[in-house]
Amino acid sequence: MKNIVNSKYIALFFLILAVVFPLFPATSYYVYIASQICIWGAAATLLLLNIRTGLFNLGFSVFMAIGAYSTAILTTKHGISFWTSLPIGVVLAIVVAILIGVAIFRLKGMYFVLVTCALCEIMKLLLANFKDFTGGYNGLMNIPRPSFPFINFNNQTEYYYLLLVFLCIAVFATRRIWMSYVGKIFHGIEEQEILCRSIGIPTSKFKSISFAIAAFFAALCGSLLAALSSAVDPLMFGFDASVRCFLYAVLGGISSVFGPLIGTTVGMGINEAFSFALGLAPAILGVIIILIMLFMPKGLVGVIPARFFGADDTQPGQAEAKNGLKK
Amino acid sequence: MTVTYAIQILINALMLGVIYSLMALGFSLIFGIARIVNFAHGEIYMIGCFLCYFIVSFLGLPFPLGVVASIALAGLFGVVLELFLFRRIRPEEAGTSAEYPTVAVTLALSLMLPALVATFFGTTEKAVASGIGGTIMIGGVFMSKERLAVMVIAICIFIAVASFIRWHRAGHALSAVAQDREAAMLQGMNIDRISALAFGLGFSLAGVAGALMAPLYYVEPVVGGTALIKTFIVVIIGGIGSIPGTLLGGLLLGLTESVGSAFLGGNLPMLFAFLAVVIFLIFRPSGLLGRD
Repeated sequence: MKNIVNSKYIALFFLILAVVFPLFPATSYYVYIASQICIWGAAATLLLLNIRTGLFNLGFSVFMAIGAYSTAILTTKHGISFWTSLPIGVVLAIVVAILIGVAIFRLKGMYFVLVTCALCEIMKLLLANFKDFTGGYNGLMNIPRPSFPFINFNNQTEYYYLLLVFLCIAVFATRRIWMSYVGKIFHGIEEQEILCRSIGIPTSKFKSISFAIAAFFAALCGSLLAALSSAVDPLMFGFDASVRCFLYAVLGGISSVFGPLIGTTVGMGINEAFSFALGLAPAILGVIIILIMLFMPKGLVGVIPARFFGADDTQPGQAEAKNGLKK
Repeated sequence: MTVTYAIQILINALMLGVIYSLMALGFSLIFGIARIVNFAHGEIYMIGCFLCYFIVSFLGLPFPLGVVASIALAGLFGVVLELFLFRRIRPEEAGTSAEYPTVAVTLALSLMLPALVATFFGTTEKAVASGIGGTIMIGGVFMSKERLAVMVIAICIFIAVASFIRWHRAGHALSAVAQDREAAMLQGMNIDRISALAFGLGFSLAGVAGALMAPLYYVEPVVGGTALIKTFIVVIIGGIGSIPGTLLGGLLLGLTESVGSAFLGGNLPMLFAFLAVVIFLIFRPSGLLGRD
């Protein structure tokens, strides 16, 4: 008897919940928070793709910054519409990702992580330095929301639905990519890179692909975030943002495509719940993460047995193991 | 541009350089022995600053006591963390992605520690008076006694730790584990204890760097981030796994900063340093003198 309660239905349940909850009048502040969760959740999910390729990309926020600042500069200073600025930001981010990738993919382990951190800092310094372009530390303001014939995205709830759609696309895309041929190679690179190379897989090329996909979505996240808060500044997309994305992804669990989203929800929920006391929220988040790493290293989704997610989600070959090798 | 000015810049560079080398040495120890990138290293520096502030400005005790306390307490913190935390999060499987718990834990610490410190001490800048006032004239050049004292103490500490690693038995153990962990285990070395020593020493070095800099620069919860970045720069340029390398890297960074802020100002010196880091990582990831 097939297990009726599997992850797809649970996900559908939460999706319905997410769609329905803004209709309650008491929750208009929470719609803003939920909007942020949508964006950062999408970002964390794409970061998961990088992590599962073996790339601890702590420079993720660089690509968000590229998208956000492209949108900000183009819409405020050159009068270009939001939708037009999106592809420009995305293309810029992908180009930068590929250029950077060429240089850094040969680095192993710790050095890769360090260089991604350095990239964050470089981006921040660049943004802060070229004041005429980017507004320096003050950043840019009055970024308009996207416009659509019958929908006014200045309304928080309607923008939230757009972001929800974006989140669904991001999660869906991540899962499809992970399940595809390319995704299997990513998994191989993560686990045994040398083995992959020894059988002829051009790992650098695939790392570039992973990086570029993440950059693509990161730029979109950045642009949407710029429109959400209608202002950008260099500190929004610094090392801190990357770290938070990473921690949310790990908190939720990197073994499932829903993990980062869960982690983001919990993380930002904690931020909100404890915002009354200065510094309490990061402290609690830190403690929780440490405890989870100690006792549940698979993250929050680790409590859910693997059978809910289908054979391909955790280990390769599990499908064969379940069905038995037919000789 | 007078000779006096040049000498002052050089002294400043030397002082900053040795402090950065201390931080980098601590970081290298932790990475070399436990293979953990300690993202919280900058925050330990910050804790060192605040420990010094607490002892000197809060309790009114003399500055040397603040320095000693930061060495002891930061070291103790390191040992405790290793015992209860890092020892249990060792990746059992191969594969880069199995490393994520250690990265996540140090990142989590780097978030927690400034938040906790801000809760207890507030976010406003604190002042630490070292009690070493005035200037001294050496060879016709006026120099701040405070900076000289800090520089001398830092140099002494660096020499002490370097000698320890080079000549003391426990230091040899550290080198052995850093070179080949499995071989050390096969020889019957107690890796757990050596790791604890590495963490204690590493944290102490960061803490003492913080305590020494407390009277000279800012004491606020956010200084950890900058300290971490500078540690990264030194470690990458100087090379991990080599003590002369960390000294060289530290001095180079100190020089860049000192000369840069005297003549260029603004963000440019740091931008320079970062571009150097990226170039090094691309063309010579092992740094100038590294052996990894």
